[in-house]
Amino acid sequence: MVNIRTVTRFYGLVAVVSLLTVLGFSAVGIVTSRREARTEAEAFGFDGRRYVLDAAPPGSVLPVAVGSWRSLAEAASSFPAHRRVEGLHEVETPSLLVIRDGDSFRGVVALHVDRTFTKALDPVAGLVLYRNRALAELFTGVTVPWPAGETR
Amino acid sequence: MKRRLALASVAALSFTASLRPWGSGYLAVVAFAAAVAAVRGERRPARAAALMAVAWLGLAVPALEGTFLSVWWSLPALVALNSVAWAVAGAAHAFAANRGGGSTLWLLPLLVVAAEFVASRRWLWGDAAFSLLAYTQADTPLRYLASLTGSSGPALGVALAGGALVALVTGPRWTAGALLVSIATLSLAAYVVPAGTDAGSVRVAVVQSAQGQVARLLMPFDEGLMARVVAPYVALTAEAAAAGAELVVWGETVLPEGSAAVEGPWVNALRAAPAVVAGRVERAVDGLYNSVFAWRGDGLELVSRKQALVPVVEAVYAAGEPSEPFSVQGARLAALVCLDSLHGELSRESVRRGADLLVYLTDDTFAGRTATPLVHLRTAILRAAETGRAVVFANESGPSAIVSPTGKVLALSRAREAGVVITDVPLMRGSTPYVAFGDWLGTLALSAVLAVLALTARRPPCDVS
Repeated sequence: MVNIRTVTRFYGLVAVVSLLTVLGFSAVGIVTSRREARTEAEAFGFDGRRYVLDAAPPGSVLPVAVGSWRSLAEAASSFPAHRRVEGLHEVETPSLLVIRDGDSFRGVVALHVDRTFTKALDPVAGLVLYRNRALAELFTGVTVPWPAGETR
Repeated sequence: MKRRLALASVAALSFTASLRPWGSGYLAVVAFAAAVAAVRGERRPARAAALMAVAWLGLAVPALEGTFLSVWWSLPALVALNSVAWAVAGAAHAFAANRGGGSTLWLLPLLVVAAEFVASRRWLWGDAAFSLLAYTQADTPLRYLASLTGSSGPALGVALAGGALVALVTGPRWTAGALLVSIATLSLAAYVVPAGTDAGSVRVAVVQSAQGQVARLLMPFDEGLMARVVAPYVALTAEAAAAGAELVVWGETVLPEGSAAVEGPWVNALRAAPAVVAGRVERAVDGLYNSVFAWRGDGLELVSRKQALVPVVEAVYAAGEPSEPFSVQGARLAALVCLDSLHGELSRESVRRGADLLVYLTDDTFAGRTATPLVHLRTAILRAAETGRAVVFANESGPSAIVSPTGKVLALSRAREAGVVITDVPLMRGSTPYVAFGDWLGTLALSAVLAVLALTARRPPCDVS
C-alpha cells in the first residue's frame, strides 16, 4: 500500500522543484547578464552616477579652480552672477552647477545636457557623463554662467 | 489539489523548456497535456484559474525575463498582468465544466485560443502578445497553421495535440482520434492553400556588432569612442558587400540621433554597401521617433517609424503610423521595429499594402544572456509563416536571422558576437489566408466559447463541495 501522505509529499515536491527550475533557468540568465553589464559599465568608470570619458589628472581639467564650500549660501555668495533653476532641463550650457558632495558643496561645469546625460567637467573625476537622474539628486539648483573658453 | 498543482508546475517546466535555446517546440504539446490534466475535473473557478496561471508561467518567464534587466519591476508586473488571460480561461473552463459544458479536451484549447486572441488585441492589451502559445511552435511544422489564421492556428494545433495526448492515455480513445484528425485537417489546409507566388530574390546581409550598451550610449559624447563603435560596421558591411550582398541591414537605433543628414565616420560605413537599411532615433519637427532609414548612396531616406512602443521605457517617443512599402534593390520591403514583431496585424497590414519582404530591426542588448532575444526571434518567424513573406531579423546584439516565407530559418547568427548573416532571400507576392481574412480562427474560438458559456450559465451548477 502506498501511503497517501507520501504521495501528497511527492506531488508537493514535484511542484516545488518544477517551479524552482522554471525560475532557476531565468535567474541564471539574469545574474550572468547583470555581471556582464556591470563589468562593461565599470570599464567606463561607472560608479552608479556617472561614466568617465576622460580621466584627466585632478585639477587639470579646468583652467580655473571652481572651489568647494561648506554651505550653499557660501557657494552662492562666491558667485554674484549665480541664478537658481528648477532642474537640469533649465540649465544653459556651459554653466557651473553647484552640487552636493557629502556634507559640503562643490562645482562641476556642465557642457551639454540631453534627455539622459549631462556631459560635464568634474575637477575630481575629469570629463564625465552624469546620468541626469543621478545628477538631479545632487544638483542644488544653483548655476553660474561659465565662459565657453574656460573649459579645457 | 497538490496533484493538480504538480501537473500545472510540470506544464510550466515543459513550456519553459520549449522556449529555451536547447529546447523544442514539441515539449509544448507535453506541457499543454499536463495543463489539461491539471484542470480536468476541477470545478472551482478560482482554483482552475490559479492552475492555468501557474502553467502559463512557463511561457511568460522566458519571454519576459529580459525586461528585469531594464526595469526590474516590469517582470513581476507583466507576469501578473498578463497571466489574467490564461487564468480567465481556466476559470471559464471550471464554470462551464461544472454545468456540463462539454469535454475539457475540446473546451480548454478553445478557451486558451480565445483568451490569447483577446489578450493580444493591440487596442486592449498589446504586450500580452509576447508570451503566446503559438511562439513555441516556431521550430515545428505546426507553425504552418499560422498562414491560415495567424497565431491562433499554431496555438490551437498545440492545444489540440496536448488534449489528444491526454485522451490517448486516459481515454476516451475516440476523442484522441477526433482531435488528431482535426489537427491533420488544419495542417492539410495549410499545405494545400497557395501561399503566394515567387517574385525573384535579393541577396541580403544582416550586420550585428554586438558591442554592448555602454559604448553606444556614450558614443555621441566622445569622437574617439564613436570611431571605435563605427569601425566594426565599416568592416562587416564591407565584408557583406564583398560576399555579394545587395542590401545590408543594421539593427535598431544604430545610427546616431538626428533628422536626415548623417555625418562623420558613419558615412564610410554606409558607403561600404550598395544599400543599407538602419535604425535611428529620428528628431522630427513633431516629436521623437524610433525610425528606420535607408541609404542608397546619396543620403538617408525615411522608411518607417516604430508603431508599437515599449510602455514606460519608450514614453519619450511618438508612435509611428503604418507606411507604404519602400522600394530598394528590387524589393518592396516593410521595415518594422522591435515590438512591432509581436503584432501580426502590423505585418499583415504591410503585406496588404504590397510588401514582398519584411524587415525587423531590433536591439535586444538590454536583455543580456536571457532567453528573451530568442523568443523575440520566434515572434518574427511566426510573422513570416503568417504572411508568406521572408523575414530579415536584424538584432544588434544577436541572434539575427533570415527566415524563409514558410518560417524556416535560412541563416542565423550567434547571440552576443559580432558577425554577418547573408543569404539569397526569396521575394513573394500574393496573400495567405491570414493576410486576406485575418485571425478568423481566434474570432471563431471566441464566439464558440461565449456561446458555450452563455448556454451553460442557464444550467444549475453541480455540487462543488
